[in-house]
Amino acid sequence: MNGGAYGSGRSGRGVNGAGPRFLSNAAVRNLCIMPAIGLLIVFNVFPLLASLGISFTDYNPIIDASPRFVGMENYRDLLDGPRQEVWKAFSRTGALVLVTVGLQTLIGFAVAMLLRRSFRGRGLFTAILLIPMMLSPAVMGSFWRYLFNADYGAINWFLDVRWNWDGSRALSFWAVAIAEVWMWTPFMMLLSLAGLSAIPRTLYEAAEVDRASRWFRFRHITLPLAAPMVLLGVVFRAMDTFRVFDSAMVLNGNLEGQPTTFVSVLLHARGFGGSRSLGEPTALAYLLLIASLALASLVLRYLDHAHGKRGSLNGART
Amino acid sequence: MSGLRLAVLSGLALMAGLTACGSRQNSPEIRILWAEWRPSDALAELGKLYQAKTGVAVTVVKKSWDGAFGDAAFSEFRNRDDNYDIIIGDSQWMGLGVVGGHYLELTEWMKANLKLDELEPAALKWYCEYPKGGARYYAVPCEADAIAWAYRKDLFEDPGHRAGFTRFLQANKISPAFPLAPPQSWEQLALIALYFKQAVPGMAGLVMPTSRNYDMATMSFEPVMWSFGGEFGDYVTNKVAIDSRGTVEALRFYTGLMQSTSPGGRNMGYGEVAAEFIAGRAAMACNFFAFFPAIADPGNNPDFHDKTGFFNSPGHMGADGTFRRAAALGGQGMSINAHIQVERQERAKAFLKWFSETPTQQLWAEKGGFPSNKTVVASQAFRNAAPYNPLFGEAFQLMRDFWSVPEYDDMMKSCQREFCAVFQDGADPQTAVRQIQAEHEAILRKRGRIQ
Repeated sequence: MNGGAYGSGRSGRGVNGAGPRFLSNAAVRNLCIMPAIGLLIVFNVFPLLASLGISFTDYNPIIDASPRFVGMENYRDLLDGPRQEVWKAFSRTGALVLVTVGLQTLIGFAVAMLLRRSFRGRGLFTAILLIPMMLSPAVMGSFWRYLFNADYGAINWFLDVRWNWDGSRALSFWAVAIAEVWMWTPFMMLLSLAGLSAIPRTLYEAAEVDRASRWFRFRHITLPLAAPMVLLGVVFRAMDTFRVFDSAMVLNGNLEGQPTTFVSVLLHARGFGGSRSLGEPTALAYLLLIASLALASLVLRYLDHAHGKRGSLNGART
Repeated sequence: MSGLRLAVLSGLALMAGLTACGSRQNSPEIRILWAEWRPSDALAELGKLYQAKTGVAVTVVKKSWDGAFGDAAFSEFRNRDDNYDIIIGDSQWMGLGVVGGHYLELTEWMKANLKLDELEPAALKWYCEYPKGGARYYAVPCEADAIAWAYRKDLFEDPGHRAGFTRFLQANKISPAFPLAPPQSWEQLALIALYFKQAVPGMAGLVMPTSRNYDMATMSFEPVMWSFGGEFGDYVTNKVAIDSRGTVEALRFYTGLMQSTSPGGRNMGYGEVAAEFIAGRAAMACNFFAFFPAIADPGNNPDFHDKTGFFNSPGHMGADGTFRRAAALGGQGMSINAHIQVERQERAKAFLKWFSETPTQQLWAEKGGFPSNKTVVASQAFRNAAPYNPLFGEAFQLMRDFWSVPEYDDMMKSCQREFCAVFQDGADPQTAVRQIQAEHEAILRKRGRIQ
C-alpha cells in the first residue's frame, strides 16, 4: 500500500515518504517537543539556575532590594557551623531510614507470608491491611498525634503509662518511626506478596519430594526468589523515607535540633519564616539535591544489576 | 440577524459586562489582612458599621494562624503587592515591615489626627513604634493582648483545699505561710501548683504554653525571665544581654514548674492549654487574654465558666531587693500597606482614625476586642463586661515584648530550641543561655545591626 489512503492529495506525501507534505517529520517532532522543552526551561531549568545563584547570596526579598553576593559562606555555615545541624539532620534521617525500612520489611514480609496461604476472606483482609497506605501522611500524622497525646492518648492508656511522646527527646523519634512503620508496612507487604506469588509451586513440590525441611524451603527457595521484589520495595521506601516530612512536621513541628529534625524538616525550618534569608535554605536544598542524586544513582545501579541478573536467570531457564 | 450584527452585539454585551465588573472594583473598599479568630470577626462587624456610615466597604480577609496568615503577609511584602490596604501584623513583624519599606510611616499623621495621650503608653511603644525609643510610628494599636492566668475559683475557695493547703505548707516548712489565693509571687504559684498536683489525682497544678512551635514556650517563659531580672537585650542599641544570672535562675525555676504540669504539659500549644483547663484537668492555666473569652463562655466551657477566676502574672523579689513583675505581650497593630496608591492610603488612614476614636474603641470592647484606649480600659462598662477585663488595665503596666528587628524569627527559633532543650530534655540552663547569646549576637552582627 502506498500513501494514498493516508496522505495523498493536498496534504502531500504519504507515510512512505513519496510526494510533497505540509509538515515534515522533523517539523512535527519539533512542534510536539518544543513546547515541552520550553515549559521545562521556564519552570524547571531557569528556577534551578536562579536558585543556584541565590544560594551564593544573603538575599532576603522582604528587606533587601537586591541580593548581596557572599560566595560559599552559606555552604560553609551549613557544613561547618558550630551546631553541625545539617550533619545531625542527615544522620537522624539515616537512622530513621534504617529503623523504619527495616521494621517495615520484616513485618511486611511476615504478614505477606501469612497472607500467601489461602483462607476465607483473604481478599478483604488484604484490602483492609492496605488502608494505612492510602491515607495522606498529614492526616495520618494528625491521627497519631491524638493517639500519642500524653494526657488523653490511647497509646498511654493501653500501655498504662504516662509517657510524653511529643515532649520528650527520647520518645519523639520513636513516635515518628512508629507512625511511619504503621503507614508503610502495607506497601512492603504488597510487594512481598507479589514476590511470593511469583515463585513457581513446582519448586516447593520438588523440595517436598526431596523431604526438605520448612526452614530449608524458606532459606533456599522463598527468600532468594522473593528477594528482588522485596529489595525493590526497600529501595523505594528508603528513598521515600529519606525525604520524610509530613508525619514528622505534624507530630513534632519544624523546630531545629530535635530528634525529629530530619533533612526535609530542617529545610522547611530554615526556608520558611518571615525574616529568613533565602541564601542558606537554598544552599541546603542543593546539598539535599546532591544527596538525592547520589542515592538515585545507587538505585539505578541496583536496578540495572537486578535487571541483568533476571535476564541471565531467564536465559538460563530457556 | 446577520453575522456582523451578532458579532457587534456580542462585543457590546461583553464591554458592558467588563464595565460593570470594573465599576464594582472601583467602588471604595478597604481590604484588611488579619488572622482568623474571634477579634477578626469583631472587626468585620465594626467594618459593617463603618460602611453604613461612610459607604466604604471594609473586607477583613482572615487567614488561619497555622502559617497561612504569616504566609499571606510575607508574600505581600516580598512581592510588594497591593492586595491589602491594611495589614494587622504581629508586633514582632514591625522591623520587617519598616526596614523593608512595607509599612507606611504614620508619625506625623498620628500626631495630627489621633490623641496619642489617650493611648496606653505600652501599646504605643510595642505595637506602633520602630525602632524602639525612636518616636516614629508605623501602626495604630488594634488588638492588645498579654499573657495572664486563669484559675479554678471553686478549688481555691474550697474549705477542704484551704485546710489541706495550710497543712501542705506546714509539712514543707514554708514560712511565711500564705492563703490559697491568686499568687503574688512565682514561688507561691509553684507551691500552689504542686499542692493541687499532689492533692487532686489526675489534675495538673498548672498548664502553660510550652510547645516547641513558633513562639509558645518563649512567650510563657518571658514573664518568669523578666521577673527574675533576665533580659533579651537592649532594643534601642541591639545589645544582646540574655546571658545573665537572672535568665539562668528563671530557666531553672521554670523547669521546676514542670513537675506540677500534666504528662503532656511539657509540649503544649495555646489551644491545648485552654482545652486542658476547660476539661477540668488543670487548676491554673497560663494563656493570652485572647483565649479567655472562650474559657468564660458558658457555651464553650459549660462546667467551669462560672468557677473560673483570672490573675495577672505574679512577680519575684530579686537579690537586689527589687520586686519585678512582667507580662509577655501579644496582639497586633494596624499598619497601612506602603505599596498601595495614595488615594487608598488616605482611605485607610480615615478608617484608622475612626477605629481609634473613643466611641469606636468602646464598640470594639463590646464586641470582644481588647482596646488600647485608656478611657475605655478604665471605664466601668469595660471592667464589668467580662471577669478578666479588670486585670487588663494592670496588664498594660506589665507588658513587654520580644525583639522586633527583621531577624526576630531567627532569634525566636534559637530561644525556642534552647529553652525547650532545658525544660523538656534536661539540658543545662547556663549552656543554653550562652548558646542563645552567641547565636543572637551572630544573627545581629551578620546583618550589621551590631558591630
